[in-house]
Amino acid sequence: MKITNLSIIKKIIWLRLAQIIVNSRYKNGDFKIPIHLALGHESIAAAVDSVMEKEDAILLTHRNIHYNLIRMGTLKESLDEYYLRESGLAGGHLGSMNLRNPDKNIVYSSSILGNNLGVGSGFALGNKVVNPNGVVFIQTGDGGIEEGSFYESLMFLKSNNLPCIIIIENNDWSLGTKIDERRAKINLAKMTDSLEIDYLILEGNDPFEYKDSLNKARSKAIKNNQPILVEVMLTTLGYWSLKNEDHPDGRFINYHAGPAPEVLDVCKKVYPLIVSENTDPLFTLQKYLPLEQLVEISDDCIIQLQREVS
Amino acid sequence: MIYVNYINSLIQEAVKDESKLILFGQNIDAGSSLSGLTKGLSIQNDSLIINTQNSENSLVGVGFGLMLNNVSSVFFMKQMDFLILGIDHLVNTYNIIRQEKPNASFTIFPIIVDSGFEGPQSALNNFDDFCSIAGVEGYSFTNIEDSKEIISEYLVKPGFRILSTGQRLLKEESIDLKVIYKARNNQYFQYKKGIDATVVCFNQALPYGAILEEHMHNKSLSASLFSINSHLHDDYSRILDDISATKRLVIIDDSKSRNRLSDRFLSEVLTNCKLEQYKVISRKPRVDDFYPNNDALDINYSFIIEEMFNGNSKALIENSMSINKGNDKYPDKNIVNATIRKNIIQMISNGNAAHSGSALSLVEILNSIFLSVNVDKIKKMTKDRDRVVLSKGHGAACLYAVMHHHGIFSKNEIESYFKNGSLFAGHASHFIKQVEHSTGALGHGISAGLGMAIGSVSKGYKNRTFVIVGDGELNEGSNWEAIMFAGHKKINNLCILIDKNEYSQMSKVSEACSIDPLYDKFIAFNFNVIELNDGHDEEKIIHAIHSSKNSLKPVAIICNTLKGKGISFMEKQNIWHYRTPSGDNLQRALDELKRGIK
Repeated sequence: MKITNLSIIKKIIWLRLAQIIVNSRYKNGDFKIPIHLALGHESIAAAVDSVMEKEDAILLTHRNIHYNLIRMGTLKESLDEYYLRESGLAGGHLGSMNLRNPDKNIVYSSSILGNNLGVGSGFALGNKVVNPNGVVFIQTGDGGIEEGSFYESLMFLKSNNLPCIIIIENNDWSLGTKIDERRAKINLAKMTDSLEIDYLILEGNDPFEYKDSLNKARSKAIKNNQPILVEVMLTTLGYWSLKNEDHPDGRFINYHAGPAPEVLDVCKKVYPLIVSENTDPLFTLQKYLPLEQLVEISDDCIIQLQREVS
Repeated sequence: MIYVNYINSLIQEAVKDESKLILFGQNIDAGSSLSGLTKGLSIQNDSLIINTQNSENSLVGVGFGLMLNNVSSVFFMKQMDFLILGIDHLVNTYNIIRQEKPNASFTIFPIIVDSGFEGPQSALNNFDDFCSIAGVEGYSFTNIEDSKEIISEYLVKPGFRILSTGQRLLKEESIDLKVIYKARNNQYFQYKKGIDATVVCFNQALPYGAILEEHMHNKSLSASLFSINSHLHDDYSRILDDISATKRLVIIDDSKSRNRLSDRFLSEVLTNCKLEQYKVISRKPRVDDFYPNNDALDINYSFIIEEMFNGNSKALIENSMSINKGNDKYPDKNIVNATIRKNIIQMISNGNAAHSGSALSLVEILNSIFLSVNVDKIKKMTKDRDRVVLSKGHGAACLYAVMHHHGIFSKNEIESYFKNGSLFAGHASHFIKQVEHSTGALGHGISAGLGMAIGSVSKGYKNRTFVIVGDGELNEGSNWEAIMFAGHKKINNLCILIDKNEYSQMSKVSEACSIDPLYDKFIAFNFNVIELNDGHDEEKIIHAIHSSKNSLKPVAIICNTLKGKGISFMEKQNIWHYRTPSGDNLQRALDELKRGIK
């Protein structure tokens, strides 16, 4: 694929580095509030950010750092919010899990699984009378779809013909259990088919493919006044293995909130890759640009971030 | 006009000119339109009426989502219990949105299920309590005037609130009472001004209050009549002034809440007003509440008036039954207390000990206290446990039997009572781990309890200290030193319960040295005082303990009891202060207790 715009690549690398800075301070014990990092979620956040129009709105979950940072384009305001400072994005009143930024069309974030689906449905209904050209994006996860509000909201959006893109970030985990450890499989293709809702699956972390698919979905949603469900297969990076007396061979730790201890701090001349496979959006970028150029972009981002938050 | 039709007309009026307003809910524009509540609604062209799916959780979220998008809406709901599914949004979503002081309006309009025939659903007949869960504004109404004021002001107004009325009233003819005063923010309304008594109604109880006022009027008495419409505590000063003038108060609360707004109100009254009489008419909790029943209260108005104006006791707590006289399936407290008494008599007999009469008069007082405290904390002796000090230490057999009943002591332990080598001596002993203080020498418990209460305050604990004293014991001057200091310092976590069995060890208290008027004495020492005519009515004692929890002063609960209660030949027979039951007497006592307590 020919790259017509480098900015999405820069944004993904910047977002990775910004999260690593948050992670470093988190490791240092700087924050009293829980923060849910989204390392590995950078491609979908960048793609959604790039397709959202000024009339659109997005409603997020407790794991919202990737959207808040990429929509804002700067780190300091979010960082200050995590410190609960008055200079924070929400004056230190919302912390991380409920962080919203209406100026950047992030109208709501909720710490409660499934909560934002009903609120997003209402926001979409409101568009019908005050903003008919707007599309509502609602982000949730594979845990959130277990809540009854998921089904209720799909039905409501469909029943009222509301243009809405529901993004399901499926990282397989909810707190300390994987899907197959906690529930039966949910066949979203069949479920959405039963409600006559379009379904789309994204995997591989290619931001350009994601952007293209989301653009088409958005156009269809607004044209036909319909909800579309997009399932994004991804991996939350930063997991590690804990070795102790009880687990001498190591125990796999999928951190839910909290820092990722084995993710290294930012460093110039080093590409901030976490794993060398397509589960890492930064690995995927290597098919578009040589590593040297990606490192240059990374170094530029580090300078910008250090200037901003030092 | 039938009330539901009247409410419908108010809703129609409130929405007809609103632009970009969304009215939604199940069946609001179909079928019976929620039994007529939402029928025939007319709206502007840019507004919407939506018959929704049955998804209350998401639909509450929808209302808040509309609010975020600056679109006003009303969510009509047939029954308030459906709204439980939306509590997540009432707490979590609204607490985020309210920070922004939204310009749009969102009103949820559910109907309180108070007919009772819905069974389990009607257990949520407690509007104030429900609103307090999430700290949201809520207004209920009962009649033509308050409905008009509240619906016209709040149905569409920036911000969020819940409006509601009772299912029972909706089917009846609208109640037309003239309002003579409306409090700020529609918190309460006054309908009558009188000089003999003040009647204050909570939840949907105004119709009962109006009938009571009418009964008084027929007896040439006049009463002020108030109804509380909002659970948000603001300023009751007008009502308090009225109560201070009449000195007689009747509270009527027909909710099923265990955390009543009326109790908090009573606490404020007791702190600020000197009363000659007061009466609380509330619902007696019953297992039947969870079955289909008529929820209406059965109030004996003539009895209330007689007690208010000619009764002997200064304060009465009346639990009114619901009309349905179904089987009372509560654990039979009489059997429980007979078992405790049986243990007491066995312990005293086996130990060849004394003080049967003193222990028997205490049973309901002590059991009520242990039913009201966190026993687990007492078992574990946590620092923030409630303290129970039996100042009349010669009633130790009862203390041990009640604590055994609550799982604190084993059967073997209490059976060692008064035997050689046992810590379970004839007077309360702190060598037993969960006994707070050694007593027996009379007049020590209140001062020791006062110290414990002050200590708890200094540590920031939320616990209470309960001291149980005998009426004869109150002859000791040390009690009054401690009572004076507690009143002066307003040590409000101290609660003294007086076992007023009218006897001391050798004679009647009134003959040896009268302590009456005891109610006035405690009032004079700056206590809040509750006097119970029947000091063996466990529910009334428990209610008194709970309703005084938020008192701003120390509390005295005077329990008029019978020495020797439960065994016919011991009642009021002071010989049983010292005599040990044995032989035929023992058998007769145990036989009587098998039949329960009358």
